[in-house]
Amino acid sequence: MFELIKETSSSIRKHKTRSMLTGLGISWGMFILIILLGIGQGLKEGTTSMFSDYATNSVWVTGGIVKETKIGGKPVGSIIKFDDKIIGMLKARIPEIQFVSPEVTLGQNITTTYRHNSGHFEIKGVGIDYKKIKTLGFKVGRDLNVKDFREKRRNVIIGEQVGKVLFGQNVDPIGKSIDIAGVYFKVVGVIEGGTMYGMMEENSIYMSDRTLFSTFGVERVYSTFGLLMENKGITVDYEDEIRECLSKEMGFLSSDTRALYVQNIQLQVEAFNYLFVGLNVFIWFVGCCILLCGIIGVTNIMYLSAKERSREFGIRKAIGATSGSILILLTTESLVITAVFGLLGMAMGYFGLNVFNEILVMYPDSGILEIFGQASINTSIVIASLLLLIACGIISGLLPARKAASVMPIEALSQEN
Amino acid sequence: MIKLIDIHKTYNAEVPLHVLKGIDLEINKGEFVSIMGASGSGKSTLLNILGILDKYDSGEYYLDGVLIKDLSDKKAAMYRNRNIGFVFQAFNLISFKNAVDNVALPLYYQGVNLRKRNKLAMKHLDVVGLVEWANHYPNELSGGQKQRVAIARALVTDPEVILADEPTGQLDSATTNDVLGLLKSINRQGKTIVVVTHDSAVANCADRIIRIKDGKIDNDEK
Repeated sequence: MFELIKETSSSIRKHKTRSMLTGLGISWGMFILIILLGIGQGLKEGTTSMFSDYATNSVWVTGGIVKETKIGGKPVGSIIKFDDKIIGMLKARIPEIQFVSPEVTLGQNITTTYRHNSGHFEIKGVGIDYKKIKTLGFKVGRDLNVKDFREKRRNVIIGEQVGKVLFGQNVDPIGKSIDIAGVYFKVVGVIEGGTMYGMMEENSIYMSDRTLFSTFGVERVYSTFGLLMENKGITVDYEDEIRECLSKEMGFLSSDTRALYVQNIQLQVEAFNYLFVGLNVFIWFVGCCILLCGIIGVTNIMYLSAKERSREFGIRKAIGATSGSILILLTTESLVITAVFGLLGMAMGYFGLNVFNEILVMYPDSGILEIFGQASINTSIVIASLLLLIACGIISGLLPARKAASVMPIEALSQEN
Repeated sequence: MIKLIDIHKTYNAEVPLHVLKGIDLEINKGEFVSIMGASGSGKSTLLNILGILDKYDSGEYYLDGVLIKDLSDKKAAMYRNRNIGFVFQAFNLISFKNAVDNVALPLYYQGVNLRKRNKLAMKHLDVVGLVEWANHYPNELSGGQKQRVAIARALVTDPEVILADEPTGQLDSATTNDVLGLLKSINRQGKTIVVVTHDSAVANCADRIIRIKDGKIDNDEK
């Protein structure tokens, strides 16, 4: 083995420039492949984390505006809103529903004030099971608890951005009282921002739905609610069932897509997963195509090398080399070139990804970071690329080597160089 | 040691060239034979067939009692390696290997380990008087030195037969005598030697001279 490496390296050293230029083709292909795969992976992680706030088997239903009439139904232009009775009915019809929570939004342009600071934020009332459907990460403080719900306490949790606007950097919001539309509420927790969907949460203030209804004296109806479905291990599309059920009960056409919006998180995650499988296939395809150019380069050079060295191979055969050993000698040479330069390309790709990540981090507010996540390559990609490299090296060496190895020694010896 | 029965060889060019037209020959162990002939007479082709570097079309060639015909690649390589030492006119050393590595190369193909290979190679460089030149590359050696390295390489596997194709063809008269003296002393140690030459001075060193003309043995004298 050591001998083989020695033989190979002396041959490569003899043609330094040529071997290097050939190898660069492989490096480049590998570099592109790693960069593409890394960014693809980052994109996937970024997108997946957008859903991380949601329980994957949750479904969100939002009422819209009726656009088509139905005999005996609601007139065009009616706004669809839900109440506890409808929800109860839906829960009875669809046994897979495990938890339900309304998400009530209090009016528009509600001013919230803390001392001299104020802003317009989304004021939301949520049910006690809301946290089972949507996972809110806490930066400081606590979530709304059972007492908050039962006793309709005026406690709120606020989004990170809300905290920044009202309290600035130096004041701890926990325990402070804020003024929402003239009513004082106590801040008990601050929610972490960070994900793209989280942008909505960053600007929201949450309280118990019962607190909201009783404090502001509004009608107990809401346009959005979330459902947590039983986890069946497979993706189930509940949209038709929910649409059918609600449209019949509330008097609009089930085909009226603008009257009701159903967002099935599991379906969306699955759709993204398919998207990324497709993207991955595409990336491997493009990467391999570029790598193929490198392989063709190496094969060409190996043909040339085999021809140039045919006299040497003739000598070797005359003193007892088998065709097999000549084959191995040449194949090893191409394997070494592809492996060394391929690894170099991989290292450069890895370095390139880090640079890419650094650049992303420099623009934290652009939102790109949320979409891309951190570009990275994992072990399985590295192993797959290594196997690909070895295969490339062997393939590009084998054809020329077979030709060189199969001739009679006297033919090889009498070749003109 | 070597026995040829009615060997024929034709080169398939545009105009097929019938080079050997029925060679019958027997060479005994320990003989020093020279094969002479004009260029194109087929003497080199004959030597290449003896060295299993080339194939023949019909007839039989026995080397040490073994029929050399339609050998597998591995068998052919083995006989070339163990039974025959070949010395070329153009030396045919490998340019990017130094003298000792060139001499040791046949042993590499036997799977001998590095230390033993180098030891044997140095021993044979000593036989040809080039120990001090062991680490020199072929382009740093004179023609005579190169040929002596090539002879050391031919000897290193201790084969029964040494075949030399115009071994002095590229050497001046002084070094020619050196190389011939070396071949003679090898012959005295019991090796069978076959030399192809068109130089009668070289041929005269041999115990037996075979003359080839138009692909046939014209004369065989001791």
